[in-house]
Order: sequence, then structure tokens, then C-alpha cells
Amino acid sequence: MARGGSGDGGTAGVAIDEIAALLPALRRHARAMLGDATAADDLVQDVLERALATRAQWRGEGSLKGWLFRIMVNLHRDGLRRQAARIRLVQTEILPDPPVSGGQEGHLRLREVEAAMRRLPDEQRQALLLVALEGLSLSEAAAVVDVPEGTLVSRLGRARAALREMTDETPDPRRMGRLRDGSGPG
Amino acid sequence: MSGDERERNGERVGDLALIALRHGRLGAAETRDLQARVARDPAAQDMLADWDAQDDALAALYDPVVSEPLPDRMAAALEAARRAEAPLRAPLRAAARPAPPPRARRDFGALRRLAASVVLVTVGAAGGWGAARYAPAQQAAPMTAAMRAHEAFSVEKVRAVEVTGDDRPQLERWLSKRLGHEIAAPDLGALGFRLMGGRVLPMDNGPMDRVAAMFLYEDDQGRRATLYVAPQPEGGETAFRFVDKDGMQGFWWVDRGMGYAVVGQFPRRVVEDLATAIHAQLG
Repeated sequence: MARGGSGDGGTAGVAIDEIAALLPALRRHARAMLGDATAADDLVQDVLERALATRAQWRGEGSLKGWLFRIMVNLHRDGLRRQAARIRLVQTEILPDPPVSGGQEGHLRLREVEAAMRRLPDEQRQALLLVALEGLSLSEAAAVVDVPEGTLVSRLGRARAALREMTDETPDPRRMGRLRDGSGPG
Repeated sequence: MSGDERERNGERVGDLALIALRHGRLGAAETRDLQARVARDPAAQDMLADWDAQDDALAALYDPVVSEPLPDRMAAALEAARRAEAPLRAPLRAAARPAPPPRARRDFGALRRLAASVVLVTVGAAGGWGAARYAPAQQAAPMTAAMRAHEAFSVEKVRAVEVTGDDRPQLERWLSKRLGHEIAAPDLGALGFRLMGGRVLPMDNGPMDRVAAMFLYEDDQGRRATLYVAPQPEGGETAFRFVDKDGMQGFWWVDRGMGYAVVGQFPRRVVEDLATAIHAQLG
């Protein structure tokens, strides 16, 4: 079952080391998605255990990274479903407005981006992180979250526009006019 | 003139076009054309520069996670998996009998695909329901009913399911409620199968107030697999059982009071992989 195994005929499946090599990227994505380091590593632990248990079934369609991220997206979604109401309330009602930037670059600006990321809807944050941070192609990212590519592109566009809006200290009406696609799917 | 009109007139580059440009979705000619338009559109240039700044900020915020040491529990899980792999490569040690002849070793790849605790019982097509010989009669029920359900519904193009898989949470809530048992629809995307939906089915035998449920999956060639789930009031657990009947291949097992059967008209290997994945996810 393991590629690079003892050569006894198994072709499907994936070696443990290949999964291990992708753990840092999985942890980065989980941290960025959830914000909380402990919760993020809990999620990655679940992904790791699921991947190790089912790696014999992976047939090599798409990339291994895509497969692992897909497991993570599904487990994360399952977790959210169990506590959906509470999460939504936190995201839309309790978080304070992001701090207003004094125009300083550097640390303050990063905190501002981080706060803005927390305020993005999950699916937009996910789309942005998969493409911009993890370097997945649009089609790979769409497969990971199991939506049509057009939907993924639309989420990515909305994420970028919203992030820009939230971190822009001098709102520009010309830019406001570009905030479209808000009625697209998902 | 509104922004939309300017965009239609080709004076302004739209956000979605910019995303396509930035992420390499365009052919060479389209890319050149769009780059030329961006060169005439200060707002688009501004936006691309802003996106670069966003990506830099995301990398600065989250890249440090990559160089953090791996938590102990992740290292332990990897180590346990490596240890578990080693005995599987050896002859059937766990069976506590003399080492198998070389021919059996060559077949070992198929055995290793199943979890170590799983016993495989093969029944030829002519054997019909021979699998029942290896288990109490009651426990053969999930497979019989599952194959009937598969036969009845997998051929339906339009009305194969009562509730579609588009709203997975709703489907799961509904079937869990009817089954009286919490169940999540297994994700078989990694094996190329998409959840189409599910339905409730009467049970062949068993208490009147209990029902069975079926999940229907389809691959990109339109081939269908079904997962049948039914309460097994007498409980018990079984290993995987394999049944081959009239071209249908099925695996079934009983786990914590629920019977599960996976059926499809595929090579046995495919049904076996589906069953193994479902078993792992429901575990």
C-alpha cells in the first residue's frame, strides 16, 4: 500500500512520510482558519489520524495535499455543524471592529489584517487561505471545498474585496464600486 | 457612466478577470490581452498591488507556524502508524500458525488493504447467500435487504433519493432521526464517489417501529454505490463479510447494534475500498 514500500505489488495508498511532510502546511492552514493554536492542532490531529487510517484507499487522484486538505475541510465543517449557532454569533456580533490604523506599516498593519481575517465568513477565509497562502490552484481549491470553480473564484473575490475594505484606512468610493459579486453562490 | 458599463466597454478590468489573471487560469493570448488592459487601468493595478500586500501579510502572520516543532501527539500518531505497518509486512504472524507458503505471501497485498482485525469471507456467485453460514441468520439480513434496495433504487435516474445530498446536514439529521441512531453520511470523495442523497426504507424484519436508511453515491461515470444501514436489535459485532450475487458485490458488517452494507456493481476491489473507507469514517 505504501509507495516506496517493500515492492510487494501494492500501488494504491500513500506513505506515512509523505503525510508527515505535509503536516506543517496543514497546521498553518488550521491556525489561520481557527485562530486558536490548540483548537487548530486538535483539528490537525484528527486529520492526521483519519489520513493514517484511510491512506490505503487514496488512489492518487489529484495531489496528496489536496486530499489532506479535503479531509481537514470536512472535519472542520463537521465540527462547525455541531456548534454552528455559537460560532456564528461570535463571528458577527461579539468581535470588536478592527482597530483603526494610524497609517503605520508593520506590526499594526498585520494585527489589522489578522482582525479582518477573523471577521471574514469561514468559506471566504478558507478560499483565500487555500489559494493565497497554500498555493493551491483555483481548481484544486474548488475540489478541496467541493464547490464549482466559479463559486470558489467568487468567494476568493469577495474575500479579497472585504479584506481590502476592512484594512483600508482611507475608503475610496472608486473601490467601493468594485465590491460586487456579493450575491453569488455560497 | 457606471462602473459596470465601463467594465462592459472594456475600459475597466473586473475583479474576476483579475483573479483569473493572477492565478494563471488564462491562455497566453488572453493573458497578454488582459495585461494590456491592466496597464491602462490604474484601479486594477492598485488592486493587484493590494492583493500582493494581502498575500505578504498572510505569509507574515501564518508562515511561522510551519517552523514550529511538531506536537508530541502528532509525532506519536506517526510513530504508531509506522510500527503498525511493520508487522503487516511480515507473514500472518497474528494467526499463530506456521508461516504461509510463498504463494500466500504474494496474495498478501489484498489482505493488507483491510484492517488487521477484519476477516474476509469470500462467497462465489454460485454460493448465493452462503455468507450466512458464517453468521447468525439474522445478521445476513442487512446484505439481503441492501442488495434489494440497491437493485430497486440505483437504476432510478431522477427519483433515486428522497432527500438529495446538496443539504448534507439536513439529510443527516433526518436519517439519524428516523434510524434512531446518529449517522453522518460518509465522504467518499477521495474514492471518486459523490453523495447523491438518501432515503428511508422499511426493514425486512425487526421491530415495526424501526426503519432502515440508504445513502446513494455516484462516480463521475454515473456508476452507483449504496450504503444500507439498519438497526440490528440483537447487537453484536462481525468482521467484514463479502457477498457476490448476480453481478452485485457487497460488503457488510455489524458494529454496535447497527448493520451496514455497501453494494455496487464494481470489481470487488472497489467495493472493498468503499467499505473500508466507510468503516473507518463511521468508526
